[in-house]
Amino acid sequence: MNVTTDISLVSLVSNASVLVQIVMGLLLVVSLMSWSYIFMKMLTLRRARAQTTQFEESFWSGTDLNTLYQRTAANSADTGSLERIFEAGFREFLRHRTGGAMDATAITSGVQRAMKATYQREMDALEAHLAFLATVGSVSPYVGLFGTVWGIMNAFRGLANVGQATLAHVAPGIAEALVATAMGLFAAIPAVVAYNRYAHEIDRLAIRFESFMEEFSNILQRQVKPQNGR
Amino acid sequence: MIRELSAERGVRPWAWLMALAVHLVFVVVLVFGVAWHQKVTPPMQAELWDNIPAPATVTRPVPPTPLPPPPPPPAPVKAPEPPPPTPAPPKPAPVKTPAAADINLKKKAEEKKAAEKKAAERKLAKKRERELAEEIRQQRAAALKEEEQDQARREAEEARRRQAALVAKAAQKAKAALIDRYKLAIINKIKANTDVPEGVPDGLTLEVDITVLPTGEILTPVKVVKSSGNAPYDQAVLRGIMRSQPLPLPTDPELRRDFRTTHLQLKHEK
Repeated sequence: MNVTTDISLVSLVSNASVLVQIVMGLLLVVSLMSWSYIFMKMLTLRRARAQTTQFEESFWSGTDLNTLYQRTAANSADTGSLERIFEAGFREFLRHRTGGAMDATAITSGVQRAMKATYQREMDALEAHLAFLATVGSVSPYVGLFGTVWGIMNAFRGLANVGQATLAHVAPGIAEALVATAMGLFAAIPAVVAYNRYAHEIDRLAIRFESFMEEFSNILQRQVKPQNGR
Repeated sequence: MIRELSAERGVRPWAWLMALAVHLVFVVVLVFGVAWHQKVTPPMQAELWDNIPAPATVTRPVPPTPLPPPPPPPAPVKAPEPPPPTPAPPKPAPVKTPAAADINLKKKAEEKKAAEKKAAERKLAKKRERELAEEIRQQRAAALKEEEQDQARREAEEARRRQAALVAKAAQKAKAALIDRYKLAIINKIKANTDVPEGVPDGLTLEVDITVLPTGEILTPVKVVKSSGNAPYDQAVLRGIMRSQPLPLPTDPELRRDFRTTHLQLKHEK
């Protein structure tokens, strides 16, 4: 019957029922994971963008394709996605040339297939964990809501045992329950924002990769033709 | 999958650290940035008085008027010191040179000397007697004086006791007035919080005993000493009592003790 109830964050969490506490713990873990993925994606995407820009510059600066290929093959540990695509395509091209196949369309389609395979692997790596962010973004508000509903149910059930119901009886229970919703939203909002932003960035990278692949296969096709004619 | 790991290997610990930092910052902001401790401001109360009440002067405890200090005990009258007995110095008989009448003269002189001596002795005895009487008189006077002083002291004490009783009575009266005022404030608050249903006749009186915690909260159930005979009115008043928490109790802890259980008469008047 104390009028001045001391509501602090710690007491809100510690006084909640077990199920609500489990929900809160789950949401905390999920929030931690989603934030770590957010930062991980942020760093990897930034690096992928920088590497792509760097490779595009060195590719279009007119360097010899052979030396470029030698350089990329030499330090394969420190290469970007676009370099790996280029490497796969050029390796396929070299194989065709040394194998003696002279059909230009066959060579081009082979190179394209090799590049496509690498491209898909790269895209898969870039898109990793995005699905997790999407799931967190859409599900964690519901999980929080579940905890809240459960907490409020408990608060009202406890109220049934008290003859005189005042706001002071109901308020702490509801406040406790609402913490779960707050945590769900705290996990969801950044996840949704990050998902949308990263999906957009990966789309742009994919467009850059695809246009590079088209242009590179054109270049290779042009290289095949003179040999064919010779 | 292997490639994905290689792309994220250097990044992963940093990402986890940053995620932890974000949560830490968020928790710190929540704990220290939000005022979780709400201060409940007590509702303001004003008492409306038609006229400045007379007992207001009574409420002030009458300062005990200082009693006139008991008269200083009169300095003990100095008993007049008895003059030191001065034995008359025996006068040396004038030596008569003529030897003829020497014997006669000598005799006479001796006689005279003896008489003188006797007289002196008598005088001394008388004086001593007088001194004794004086002493007795003085002693008697001192005893009388002492008795008088005692009487005065007793009277002063009596007066003081009477005064103290008067002061206590006044204080009690003031306290009673104060208690009445607080009771009136409580009744007014309860009345303000009571919705008397329609059709309740005037003049109904409900008597209750309210037990109050020091915070002004009411211990349920409120004891009905004498019902008004009208159940809706009783119910309405009891609800009003519960709604009047916390009751306006005196701030003085001593006075507050008298409000542990309060007997209230709640009369319905339109």
